[in-house]
Amino acid sequence: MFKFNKIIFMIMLIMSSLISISAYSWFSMWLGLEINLLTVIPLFLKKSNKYPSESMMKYFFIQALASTLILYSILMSFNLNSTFISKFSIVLNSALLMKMGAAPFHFWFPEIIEGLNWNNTLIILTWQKLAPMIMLSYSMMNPTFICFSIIFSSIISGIQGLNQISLRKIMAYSSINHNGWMISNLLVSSDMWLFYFMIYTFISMNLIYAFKLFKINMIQQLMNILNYNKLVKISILLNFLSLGGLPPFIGFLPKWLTIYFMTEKTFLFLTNILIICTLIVLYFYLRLILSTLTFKIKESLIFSFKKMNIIFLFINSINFTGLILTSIFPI
Amino acid sequence: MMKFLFMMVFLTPLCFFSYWYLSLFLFYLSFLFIFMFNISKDYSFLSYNFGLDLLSYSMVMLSFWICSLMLLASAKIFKKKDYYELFMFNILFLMFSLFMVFSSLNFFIFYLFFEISLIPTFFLIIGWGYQPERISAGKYLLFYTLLASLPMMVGIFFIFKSVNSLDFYFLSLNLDNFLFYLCINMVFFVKMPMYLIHLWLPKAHVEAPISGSMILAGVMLKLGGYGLFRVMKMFLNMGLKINFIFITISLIGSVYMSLICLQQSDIKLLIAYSSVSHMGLVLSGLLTLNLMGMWGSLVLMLGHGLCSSGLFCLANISYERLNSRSLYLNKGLMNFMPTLSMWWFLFCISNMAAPPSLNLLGEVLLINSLIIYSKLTMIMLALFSFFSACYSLFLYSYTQHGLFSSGIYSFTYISNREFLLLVLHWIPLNFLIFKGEIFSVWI
Repeated sequence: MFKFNKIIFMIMLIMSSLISISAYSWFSMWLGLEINLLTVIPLFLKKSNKYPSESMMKYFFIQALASTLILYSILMSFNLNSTFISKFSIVLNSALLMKMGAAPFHFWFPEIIEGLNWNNTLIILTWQKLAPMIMLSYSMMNPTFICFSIIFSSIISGIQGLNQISLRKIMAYSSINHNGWMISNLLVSSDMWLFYFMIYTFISMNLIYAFKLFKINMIQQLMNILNYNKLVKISILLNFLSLGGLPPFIGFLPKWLTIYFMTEKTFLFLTNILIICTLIVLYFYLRLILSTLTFKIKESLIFSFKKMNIIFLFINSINFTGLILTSIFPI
Repeated sequence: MMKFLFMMVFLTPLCFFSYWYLSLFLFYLSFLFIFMFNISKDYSFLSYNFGLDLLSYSMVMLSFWICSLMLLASAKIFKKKDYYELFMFNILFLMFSLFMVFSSLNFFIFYLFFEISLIPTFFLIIGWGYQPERISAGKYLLFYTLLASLPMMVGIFFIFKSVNSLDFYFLSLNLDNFLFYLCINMVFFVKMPMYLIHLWLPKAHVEAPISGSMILAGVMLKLGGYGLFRVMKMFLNMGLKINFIFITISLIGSVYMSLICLQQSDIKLLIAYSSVSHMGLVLSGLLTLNLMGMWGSLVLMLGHGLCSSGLFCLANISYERLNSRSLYLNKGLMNFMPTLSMWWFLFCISNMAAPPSLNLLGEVLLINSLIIYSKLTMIMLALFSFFSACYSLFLYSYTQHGLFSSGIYSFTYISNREFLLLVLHWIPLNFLIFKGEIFSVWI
């Protein structure tokens, strides 16, 4: 069924993020964020069960709170005198971190994602982070606070994600971890941030498309898909290793550049913490793909018979060859 | 250089067609590489970021040879149609990445392919291993190495910031910083593996299929030694101060590991611990930073690579027939397979560094270098040599002599393929010593 309203809201969602990242004044940025909130909520709607409505409510409350804080800090700091005061920049930064779901303000994030379908999960994981992150890069007056958030993101995502069996929550915690990386990118170079964001979006898109296609919600279900074609199954699930940042895959590239830039700016301690905590995240990614890699598993239960389309395989091949291609054609 | 790279890249489609053709072509590649031997201590065959000196040459040679033999050794995967296309692709990819590791002139490319070579090894263990415990073994392998290697990336970029180049030739940074020393060297210690951080190795060896064991013992352990060779130039001052710690740990560890070997009941575990013990000697010889240590560690790395890989092959030949790796069941094999018994004997004596083997040359040089370093090492060295002879003899006599287990079912005799496999391990191991000066007097 062709849903015209969803198309309209989707366009408005994109437009509103663009409004807030290209705005000239803080007030219009706030305006863009508000439009963004009000257009993404109808997209969540699904009439068959009540979980999306719950997520919609929670999402609305959290984002409204964050928007209020943003508006408050903007008004307070610019009313007093027209320079940005560091005290209010912490309030503003907290609100933005809350909007994107970075660590000390992350508690809503997995809960809300749990109630959504995969398309909306993809929107929340990637596109909804664009505007707050750009705004954060404009207003980082207090790097210590940001570093605090980065360290929290990486530690918390690793430890909390270990316990999950729902793929949505795992994607959410992995997204919190990547938040840590992306915010640390914002500290050193916004070009690198763009690069990281693009590749992260690409990999999550690959994974989430596969999850949607094969209707996977829990990690046990990963065992039963696509057992008639191991090659395709491996090529899908190796995206997880890419997300964890292991070398022959494309996901290593942004991590490499991030570590390079951060070391150059002598963020040595922060980089080491990020790296070590990403290993914990890698551990639970690895747990997901082990069912694929242990070839001798019992393969009598085949539930899904959907055939792969060639385009999907082609997109996945970028995952393997991306690192080599970028070394041939330097950026 | 480029021809080998291209040959490996264009062999990729062959992976999905024929097992034995790929094996043939890999041997062809190895022999092409042997004929290229006109190499001195300086870099030659330079192109782009790649080149070979004698150290790289011998390591690339070893990895080509072991990778070709891996295909020869694991014909069972082909016979059982156990995803053998993916298996071949894995081996080819592993070979490609090892080639890039050993021939790269750039520290970062070295690091990149060092990590890449981890992935196919991990897949080999997880994919074609035998017991369910292979999952934890694979995780051990991956996380031990990654935990140590990712801080090394920070270290590498720190070098780049200071020196503005990452070529091995220009690594002239001399930092007296213990943390930096650990950052760079810890991954090589894990990979060697040094005693105390060796726990991943026995697990990985026990769970890996024969090809995984061969590549682990044959080449992956040597990655650590190769890396230390390359980076020790940066730590001359620091090394003089604190290398004694690691030398002590690895020498004591060698003796401990030899003692542990003597109480094993699992053939593969015994060979794995023996390789930890030998690599401990290599590591301590390398860290003495004297000339004989350098010579000896290269020779012992080559010798140990061939010898332990051959021992794993022997263990696998027994395993395929008896379906057990236990020393209590693998008894009295001389009654059934007397010719194989000769091969067990030849490899066991090579493992204990008996005369016509590279291990002898390597151990003599390393023992010299360590005694030059400190007289106190003589105690540990004496114990090490004695116990290494002990466990090799233990392995030989327990598997070959005595009454055979009554639970053995009928099995086939050793095929020509398996004899060829053993011969191709044994010939370089025992014939290279006749031209030993090219590998020993190389700096």
